[in-house]
Amino acid sequence: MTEPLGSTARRLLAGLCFVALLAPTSACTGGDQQSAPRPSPSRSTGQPTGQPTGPAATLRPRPAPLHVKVTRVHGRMSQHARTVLAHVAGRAISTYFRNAFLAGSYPRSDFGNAFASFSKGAAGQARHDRDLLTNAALGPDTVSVTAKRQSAYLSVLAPHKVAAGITAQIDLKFLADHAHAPDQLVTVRGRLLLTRKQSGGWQIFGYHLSRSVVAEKGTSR
Amino acid sequence: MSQLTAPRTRLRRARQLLVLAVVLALTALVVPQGGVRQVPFSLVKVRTASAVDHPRDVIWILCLGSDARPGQAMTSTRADAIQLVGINLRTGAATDIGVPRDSFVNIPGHGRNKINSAMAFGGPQLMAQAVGNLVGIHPDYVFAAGFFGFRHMLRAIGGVTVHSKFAFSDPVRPQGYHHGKNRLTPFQALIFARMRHALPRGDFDRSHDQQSLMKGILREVRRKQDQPGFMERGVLSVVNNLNTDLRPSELFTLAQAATRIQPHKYRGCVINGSTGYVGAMSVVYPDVGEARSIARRVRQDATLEGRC
Repeated sequence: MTEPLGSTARRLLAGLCFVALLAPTSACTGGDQQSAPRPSPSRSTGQPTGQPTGPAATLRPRPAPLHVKVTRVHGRMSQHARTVLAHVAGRAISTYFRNAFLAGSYPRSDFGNAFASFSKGAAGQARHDRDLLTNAALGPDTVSVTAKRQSAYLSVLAPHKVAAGITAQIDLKFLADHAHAPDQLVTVRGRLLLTRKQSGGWQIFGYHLSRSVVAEKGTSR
Repeated sequence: MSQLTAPRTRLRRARQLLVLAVVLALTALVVPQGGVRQVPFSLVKVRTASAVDHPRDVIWILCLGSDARPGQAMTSTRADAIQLVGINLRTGAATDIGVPRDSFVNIPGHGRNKINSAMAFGGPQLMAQAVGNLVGIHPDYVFAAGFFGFRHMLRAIGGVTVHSKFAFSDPVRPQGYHHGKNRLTPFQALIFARMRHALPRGDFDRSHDQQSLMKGILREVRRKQDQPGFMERGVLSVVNNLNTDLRPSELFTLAQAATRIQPHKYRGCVINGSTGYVGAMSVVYPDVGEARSIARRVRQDATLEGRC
């Protein structure tokens, strides 16, 4: 009569212990990432990198890839030309996102190449706004960054069937993982203005960007 | 037997409950509340930055309103609106120098005549030369728009709000043009820019109204510039309706740079003068000294401190 009750209690107890041991891990990872891998320290996750490397590698979430799309054309452009344009102009935007925020070895304080895809004049002006236009403010205290959203929707001026200028509405969200403080969700939104480089490809010649930083819900240390 | 085992069973249950209580207590201490920091509200500081790169810091643009009728070439008819606009892309300042269209000046190669006839004699280049000689600042670019092109461009930005110095009536606007703010359709804006007879100082006040219109367009563009596709649509309209030798990519960068101009730093001056007749022709004798004086103050930085 008593044996079944004892067995049930032990199973219940074992279950509770298991839940208790598991709980801290899931709480730190965040509600929406319970099944997602965890970012490894001292490593950026701006690009999808596939398998973790090295013995210290731990599970980390897959970073969101950059999504670039031509949404408006004022003038005329073929569908093929739009696809090519999204790819080529996307390169300039991707370079900026990676160099200024997502790539590099964190903790990071060198953002010297952040504006490699900017025109010379725009890069000069951007350096004055580097706290806003790069992750310089958080970089030294960040162990890794994980892209949560990267999108660029392009409005194109194409009066003669050739793109002459682009306004990219961008939305970049990434998680800055700090060793001894709650993670922070950084959002950079606004417009990047692009024009053709004389040497080919596209460059960013202007920007209207806003940046906000909030403590990520679902994280605690 | 059952009497002996009952206390042991109770003891074992008690121990189990004690262990369970300890585990639950530890769990409560170790595990944060779902890992979520609960806050009743959130106040997030959003910082912004903006800049536009252009090869030049200060640009002078001659903006011309041609009175070409449908079928007439825009660049071979007289210019009714003549505004020389300097913009400083570093500081966001701008100075607009209005030239009365009847200004009686020397037209290179054509003797003395009304300045607006330079457009008909030699197109935008000669017009730029005549205005440059009068004011003392030679424009970097000349933009010329006809009636219909102007309306198309205003349609692309969705109308405009202007500040009128005077109240006057016109059939295109049943409620009339009020002193102060007026929200205008593209056609009403065209009439506002052309109206002369209803204004006390005729050509001079009209030039002032044209500056008010330019300022209104700037406000409109700045207000809407972050709407997806707005700038591209506007520049396409300029490409289609404006006479200029700039490539579309140059127009795009220039238009984006021009949005840096801050309306409160946009100053306008109209070159004064006396009126008279040359034969049967009503003319304005412009105050060349005043024109050159303004030019000296604004040539380098397009920034006018103090009064005109």
